[in-house]
Amino acid sequence: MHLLRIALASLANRRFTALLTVFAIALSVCLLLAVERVRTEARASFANTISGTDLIVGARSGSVNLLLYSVFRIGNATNNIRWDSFEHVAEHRQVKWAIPISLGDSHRGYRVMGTSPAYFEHYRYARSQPLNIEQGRAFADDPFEVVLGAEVAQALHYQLGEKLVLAHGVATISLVKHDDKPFTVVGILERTGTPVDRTLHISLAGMEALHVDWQNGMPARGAGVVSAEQARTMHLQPKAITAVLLGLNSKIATFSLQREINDFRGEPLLAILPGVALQELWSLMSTAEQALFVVSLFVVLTGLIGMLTAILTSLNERRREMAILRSVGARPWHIACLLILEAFALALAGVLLGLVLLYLGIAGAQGHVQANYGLYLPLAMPTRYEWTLLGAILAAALLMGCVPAWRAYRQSLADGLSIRL
Amino acid sequence: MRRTLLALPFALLPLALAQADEHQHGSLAKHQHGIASLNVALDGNTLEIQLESPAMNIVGFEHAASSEADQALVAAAKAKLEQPLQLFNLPAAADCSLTQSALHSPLFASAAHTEDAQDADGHGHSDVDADYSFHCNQPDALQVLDLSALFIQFPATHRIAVQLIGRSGQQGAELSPKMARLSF
Repeated sequence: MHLLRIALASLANRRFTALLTVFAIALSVCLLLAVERVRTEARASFANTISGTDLIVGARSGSVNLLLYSVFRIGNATNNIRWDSFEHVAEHRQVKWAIPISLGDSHRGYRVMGTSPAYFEHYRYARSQPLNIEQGRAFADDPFEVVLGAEVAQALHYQLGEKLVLAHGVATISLVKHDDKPFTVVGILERTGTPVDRTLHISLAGMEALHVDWQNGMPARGAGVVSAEQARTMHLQPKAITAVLLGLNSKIATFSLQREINDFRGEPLLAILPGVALQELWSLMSTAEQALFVVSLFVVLTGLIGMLTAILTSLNERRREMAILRSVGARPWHIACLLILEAFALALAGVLLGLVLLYLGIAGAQGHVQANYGLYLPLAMPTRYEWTLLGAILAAALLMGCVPAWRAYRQSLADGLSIRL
Repeated sequence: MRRTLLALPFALLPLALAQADEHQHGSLAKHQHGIASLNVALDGNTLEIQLESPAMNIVGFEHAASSEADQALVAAAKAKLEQPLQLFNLPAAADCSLTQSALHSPLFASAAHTEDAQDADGHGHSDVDADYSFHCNQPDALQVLDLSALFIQFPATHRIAVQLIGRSGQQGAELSPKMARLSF
């Protein structure tokens, strides 16, 4: 105990270097933990986004690509699929429910998704949680109704009954707006912590109505324009959709239906198992994750070596200090312990400050990260793995403390008592 | 001259159509030696396993078996595939019994049909498909899918891309002789 007090008092005497060392360790610890947090939370949020969907069907491309654009709204579809292909799949006797998805428009940076009422009924996230409507209702017969995800409503301050204009394409700043056909907010979904929060849901008829008078990829002009009122009276049957989510009667049928869809002769289709595609995504990402982890480990190591350097360089200046301690009765191993304790105290302070920095950072960036990346970073206690990492850092610091301790032990046997100024 | 050139596509159109008719429109399945794919689904008491592999991994060649030695190899491979309980190392505690199985391969076609068999794939590649359906009285005893026996029986198989639907939902993994296990 006395030793610890002496170690701390000695550190206090050199507080400027000590603080810098602590700060360097804290930053490196914060970085390591942040990388770890983002990695695990990204995985958890991806895994929680879809549940209960047996197959996802889209145009033939890669399974990861299809999963990313249909569920996570990342990237874009390579092709659309025909409506009759959707009907063909949806009417299969093994299919319990089918949710059509049509993507491509946006509203102030948030994606717009055309779908059917089946989406609100059958879509599940996390552990089989259904989507709940917090305010209002799902869209009904009128094509110009929109249901907002929680994040969209919150960030853009939309209330029920408000009118909004959708933009063509997915760029944040779009030159082509569907301002002739405004949509009315009829419902706002409960927060889910998934990309659903950042999506505007409209009916397929609404999606079709937006583009009903378009020609050659541009809005119609003059006489060709179809007004919102005219569109309401039209038969708005989509010709193409982007993807389909399928729920099956029996899990056993998944593979045979997958094969059947992949061999569908009408159109090149791809059916994927979302769970399998997700794992494929992990294996793609694991290399990058490992690289990040290794880099942050090395940053921690650099912080610790910085500490070692600071202590070693101070040894020479402290010969007098050691000599005085020796003269009042400290044994060489006391001196050695003193230096190990010093290293430990520095590392411990660094780790604690690192944790403080991490939580301050999370608290500060939480909203921004969720809005921009859809990643929810909870202010949770460190996990067992994180504690292990922190413990390993402290152990490494103790080990490193042995180097100056050994030198001081050797020197303090005789050194300093005989004055060599 | 230009006009005639413009007409050219129309003149050629019937030709293109005729050719398109002869062509198979379905896309070609992938075929990669050493790699097999395995689908496993467990729902209630029913366990289904589908193995799809290039014949090279299972038999050692992909042409129709004409010589006696070849035929013996085919018969040996077929015999192994007909013992799925051993092949997939299903635990005895699960009390699984085979309810249905089907083996398909151009190589398994009888001698009389060898010509058909050779036509099966225009590029001389052929696959072996094995579908099994089990009824397990104690499905909870199925904890781990262990393919080590399969890798030993068919050493030319280096990797198996597994899609598994089990109690914890869907999983995908690539198993190899070193990592031959996947939990349900």
